[in-house]
Amino acid sequence: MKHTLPILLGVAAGTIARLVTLKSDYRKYPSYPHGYVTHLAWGAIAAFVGAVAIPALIEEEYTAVTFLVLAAQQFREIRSMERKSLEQIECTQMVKRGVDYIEGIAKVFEARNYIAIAVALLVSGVSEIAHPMVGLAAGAGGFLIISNMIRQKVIGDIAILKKAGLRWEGPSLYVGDVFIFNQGNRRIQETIIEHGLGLLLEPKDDNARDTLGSIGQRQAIVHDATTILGIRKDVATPEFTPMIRRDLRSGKVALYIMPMEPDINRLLEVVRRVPVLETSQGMALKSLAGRKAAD
Amino acid sequence: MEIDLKLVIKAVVTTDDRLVTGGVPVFIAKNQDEMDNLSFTLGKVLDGVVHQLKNEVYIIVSH
Repeated sequence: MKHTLPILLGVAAGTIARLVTLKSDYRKYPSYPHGYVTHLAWGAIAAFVGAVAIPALIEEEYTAVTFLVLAAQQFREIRSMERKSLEQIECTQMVKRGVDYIEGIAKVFEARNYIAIAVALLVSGVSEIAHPMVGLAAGAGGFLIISNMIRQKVIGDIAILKKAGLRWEGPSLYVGDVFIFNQGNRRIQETIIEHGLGLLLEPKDDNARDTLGSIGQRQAIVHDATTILGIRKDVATPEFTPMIRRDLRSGKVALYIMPMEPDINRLLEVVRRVPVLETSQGMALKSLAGRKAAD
Repeated sequence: MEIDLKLVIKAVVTTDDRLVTGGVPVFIAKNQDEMDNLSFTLGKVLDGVVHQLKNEVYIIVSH
């Protein structure tokens, strides 16, 4: 068959693209190894759909293009599937991800399958017209361009992070000059001073200020920090729950955390790399009124 | 969403029984040290946070 090589190359390239984007990193999702197998299988299916599109058009099998529409519908189901899986395990998490973070993860997993389709389509399409090596090069280039386009900003891009000390003023806990919560028991206060860490996040502009103000974004920061550094907390110790509170005058936020690993420099690194959630992004400066109102 | 304060405040610990009139369990302590010990234990038992309203009054609150 004359289209065999382009289709095979497209399927292989699309599957590899999905494999590269599939990483069970410290965010613990997908769970190894069953989640890996499921997502890899979906990626291979996506690659196959993308790989056969151009050869089908060349053979004037125009109805085959409707498979792309069907595939898109199925991959939207992936987003629902991921969302349900993560929501179901939320109640067992010591520190929850939050709805925004879960939705962001679900959207990313849906989008990564579309990347597999795009890479497979590019490789098989260019391989039909030119040499297969040119097709592979086009696929690699396309993958790099798409990856760069959808690269998420991280907290380190939008905020200045500073170490800050914890202190008690009577029963009130402060990180820097930001009030965190009220807790009166002296034994617990001593424990918090001994093991707690504090961090200040100062937004670089008004968009960042609104992003950091978002509950979902703050929950994501807390979740990622505790995933890496561990959490010195149990079921009956709500006072050790990590918290982020906002200073209403400046918009900066302060993080209080009781980690198992009390390493402030690692905490800084982790929080710097927390992704900025799509649903939490501030848009103050995107409108004329917002720009005029900005300081 | 209505919040019933009685369901949120699980208990009160105080050294002065004139400051709290009831509605929730009230524990009277002899001194500050006993207040700390009582509130610590109650916090663990009731899975609540010990908040200080005044020097003489701690409330155990469920969040």
